[in-house]
Parts: sequence; C-alpha cells; structure tokens
Amino acid sequence: MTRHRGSKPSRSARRALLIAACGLALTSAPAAASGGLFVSPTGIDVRVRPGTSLPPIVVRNDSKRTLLIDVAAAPARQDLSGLPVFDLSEPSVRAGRRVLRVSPRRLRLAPGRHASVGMIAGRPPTRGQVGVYAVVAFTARQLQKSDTEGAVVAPTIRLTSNLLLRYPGRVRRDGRATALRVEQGAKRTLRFFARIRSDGNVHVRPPARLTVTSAKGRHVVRRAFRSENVLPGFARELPTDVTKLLPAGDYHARLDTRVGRRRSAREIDFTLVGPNELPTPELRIESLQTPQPDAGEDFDVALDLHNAGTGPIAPAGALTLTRTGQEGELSRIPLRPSKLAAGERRRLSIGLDGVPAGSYTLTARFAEGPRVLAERTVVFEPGTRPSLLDRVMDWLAGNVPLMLTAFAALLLIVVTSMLAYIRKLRRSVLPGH
Amino acid sequence: MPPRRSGAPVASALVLAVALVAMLWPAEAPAACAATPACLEVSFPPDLAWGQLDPGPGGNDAPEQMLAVTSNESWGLRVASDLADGRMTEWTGGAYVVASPKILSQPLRWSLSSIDAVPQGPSFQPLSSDPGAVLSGQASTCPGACAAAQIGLQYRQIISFADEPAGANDYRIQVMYDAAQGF
Repeated sequence: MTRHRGSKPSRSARRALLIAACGLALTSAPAAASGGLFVSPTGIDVRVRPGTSLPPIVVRNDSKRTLLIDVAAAPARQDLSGLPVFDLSEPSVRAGRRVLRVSPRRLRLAPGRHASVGMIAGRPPTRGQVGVYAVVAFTARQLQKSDTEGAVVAPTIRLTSNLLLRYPGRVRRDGRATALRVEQGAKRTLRFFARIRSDGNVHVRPPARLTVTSAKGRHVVRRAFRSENVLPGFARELPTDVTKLLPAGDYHARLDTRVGRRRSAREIDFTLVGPNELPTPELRIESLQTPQPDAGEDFDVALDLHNAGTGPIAPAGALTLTRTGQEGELSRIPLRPSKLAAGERRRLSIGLDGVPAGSYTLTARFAEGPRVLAERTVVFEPGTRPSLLDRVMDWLAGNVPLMLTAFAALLLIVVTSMLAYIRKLRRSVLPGH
Repeated sequence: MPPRRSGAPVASALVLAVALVAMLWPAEAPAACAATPACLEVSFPPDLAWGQLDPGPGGNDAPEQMLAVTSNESWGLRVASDLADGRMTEWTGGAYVVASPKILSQPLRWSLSSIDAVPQGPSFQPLSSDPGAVLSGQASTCPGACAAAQIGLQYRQIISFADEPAGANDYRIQVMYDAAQGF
C-alpha cells in the first residue's frame, strides 16, 4: 500500500483505488429491491438416469443479515393451483434422498453472498416409473438476534425449486377435461378455470381453448388457457382472464382440450347481471341480538341476515358460545338457512341452553372454505336469578293497574257484603223497622 | 542519489489485478430476477414484537407485516407455524421452555391484509403447522421488468385473563412463509 498515515496518496495510487472501487462495485452482487432470499432456477424439467447430475440451483442472500439455510429434497404432489404439496417430515426427507442427492444440505450465507446447490438423480421410487416429481426446499432463518422484546413472531422463509424428472421408459400421455368454471375477477374481469386431469405416467402441458357464445349463438370470446404442467394422477386448474366487456345476458362457455390423443370438452351456462358482472352474493349479518337471560335460564337469540349481492347464496355457518377470553367452545350450533335470493332478508331464531353467571361471547360466522363471508360477535353477562319473593314483588310491580283493579273489586265486594250484613243485623235486632 | 522509486505503479497494478479477478470471479454471480431463468425471491419481514398484550375478546392487532415477492412464473404463498397448534409459547431467548412452559390459551391468528397496497377484507384464521394458503395462482411479477408484489399480512393475538405473563422470558412463535411456483 502506498498510503502512509499522515501522508496523501499519490495521484496514480488514488486513480488505482478509484478503478478498483469501480471494479468491485461492478462485480458485487446486485442488491435486489426486495432484499431477501433468492433462488433460481425454480423449475427443472430434465431427462435423467440414476447418477445424472442436474443443473445446480443458485441461492443468494439479498437480506442484510446472515442466513442459515437448510436444503432438503422431498417427493411432491400438486394442488389444484399447480403449487407443490410436500412435507419435510423425516420419512419424506428420507424418500427425497433416495430420489435426489443434494449437496450441501446446509448453507451459511453472509449478506450479498450466493452458493450453488448440486443434485444427482437417484433411482425412481418404483421400478419402471417414468415421471418422478420432487421439490428442493430452501428453509432460511436469520442468524442475528433481533432486538425486539415482548411477545415475538419470528419469520422464516421457505422457497422451493420444482423438479420434473423423466426416467427412461415408455411414455404414456393421457388425460381429460373434468370441469369448467367462471368467477368474478378484479376490475370487471371474468376469470375462467379449466380443470384438467392427467391420467398418464408423465406430466403434460395440455393445450386448452375457451369459446364463449352469446344467447343468440354468436361466438363472443375465443382464447387459449395458460398452458401449465399437470402431474400424472392429479388435476390442475388452468386460468384465463376475459377482459373484453360482455353485456348483461345469458351465455354458454365451452372448454376444449387434448391430452395425448384424447380430446375432451366441458360446457357451462352462465348469466351476467351487468357488463362482465357475474351474479355475486354478498352476505351480511345485519344484527345479532345481545341476549339478556338470567343465569341458568334457556334463551333465544335473533340473527338477521341480508343478501346484499346480485346472486343467490346458500350460506353455511355456526353460532358459537365461549366464555369471554377463554379457549374452547361451550356450544356450537350449525347455521344452514335455505337459499337466500338476491336482496332477500331473513331472521333466524336460535335457542341456547342456560349458562351460569359470567361473561360470554356469542359469535355468528358464515364462511366459504377459509374465506369468512360474514361475522358478528356480541358479549353478554347473564343476570343473577332473583329469589321467589323478589320475583313476586317484581311481578306485582309490573302489574300495578291489574292489582289496583283487583283490589278495588275486592274492596267493593267486602263493602257490599258488610253493608248487606249490617242491614240484615238491623232487621233482626229492630223488628219494627 | 539514486532516484526514489515510487510504489504507486506496483500498487496500481496490484489493485487492478484484484479488480480484474473480482470482475471475472465468480463468473456465475446470479442477477436479480429477470425474464429467465425461472426465479423466485422473497424478502424477510422484520421480527414482530407486540410489547404488552392486553386481555379482551377483541384481541391485540400487530402492525402489518410486509413481504416482497418477485417471481417470473405464477406463484403462491402459504403460512404456517413451527408450533402445531399455533399458540405462542414461553421462550428463554434461545429456546422454548421445555419443562411446563407457559402457553397462551388462544392461537395466533393471521389474515391477508393487502396486495400492492390494496386493502383486503380481514379474515383472521388460526395459525397452525398445517400451511394455510395466503395466495395462489398469482401472475408473474415480471410482465416486462420485474417488480416485487407487496403482500401485507396482519396478526391478531387474543389474550385471556387466564394467560400468565411470561415473566423474565417472552412468548414466541416462528412463522414460516412458504413461497413456491407452480410445477
């Protein structure tokens, strides 16, 4: 180094330092905007034999902390959206190791550093199996302790790379369309889903086309679905968005596909209530009555529902009773009212068993799968049950006019009887009168 | 007097050599997500700390946790916890307490709260070790140039009067964000 303490670096040395700095700046890993865990490639589709080396997967730490990354392979299935379904239990990871040898299995990456993970194909799980599907999962956690205190939620990131391995053998491509559906997308978009099942022994990327016909029989939409891999033995929904505005009315949609040599089709009818607007229900709980029972007394709760949408709905939900702030339901009553037409209101009356004194939470919830459609909660405290004397006094206090009338009638009877008796007595004592 | 030899040329040559080596090695340094090859990047949200948790049926809502997802293929996101029933457990600072740990009576609940700053209706679901689908079938974030999708999640913890304070320790849970592309 030409620079000494207390002296200025020479011009040439300064120039060299500047160049070096530029060089290092150019070669350092580009800082991604998001700054996290990066994996590429995330899909590898190759023909292999046992012992074949696969293209390496690059994993990079774009975060500001050192990451500890566990790498594991596991057999994978496919869900309807196409995402891999797998677990990293010990048996699953053991099965993954038989299919794929991964190295290294653990990485420690400083910020900005990257590493390559090598893979060697093993034998297919069953003899003669052509298609083998697995994931390589990268599970990363930050090593430095955070300075947070109190109840802590610590994040971990897991990214996967999907492997589609084709071993030598006779390939059989087969499958069929099993369903077609349409749902409302964002910004007046109609999203169609073609469900296609693969029945062969290797994955397929089936071409699929959508045709929409108006009530007059005119073709108004013709387009292709996004072609994606469907694993053998599984079904996958391929989406396509229709942004062309179709006016309100009745329509017919048809899906055509070909998997291997087999052609298949599915058809549905649908109605639009506005431009690209499907009849959409919107369930609302307009009110959930706060019950005011006495302790131990059975009670009823009224629940008012309203379908504020443009389509019918057959809601399914439950009314649950819990002790406020405590775990565990004291009672759960399923709510399955019959179908509500668009705009319809309905009142449900639900009977519940009496509960001891305390604070209770009553929750009415309607859901569709994991999506909550409507929910409302009330908190109530049953009153203590009054004594017999108190209840009699309460009753009397609540019936003053009746009591006054009864008292007046009784008084009239007594006075009339007394007067009659006095008159009778006079006649017997004073017979001349 | 012999001419004084300056060390500057040697130093310059050395530094240039270092720069050259740095430029050429490692040659396979991956770029950020682009059109090809298939890539996926997810940012780490910061650790989430509540501080004091108050008992009550409404629960304690944490500030929104943001994740940035960059993917050049269709993708999905799932969330799961390291604890089977999703209940925060006493933590010493290095590990969960093994012998009679304090465990909150209610599981931590999560909800998708926003996608690219567009609020999503809160729909809180209990967290568990079974992955819950946050998003699926999301389109590539690289239609032209890649831009990260900003996903917001919110957490809610209901505290019962029966829940004990953690004392010198803390309550903790690990949340796993599992991002993947379709096959």
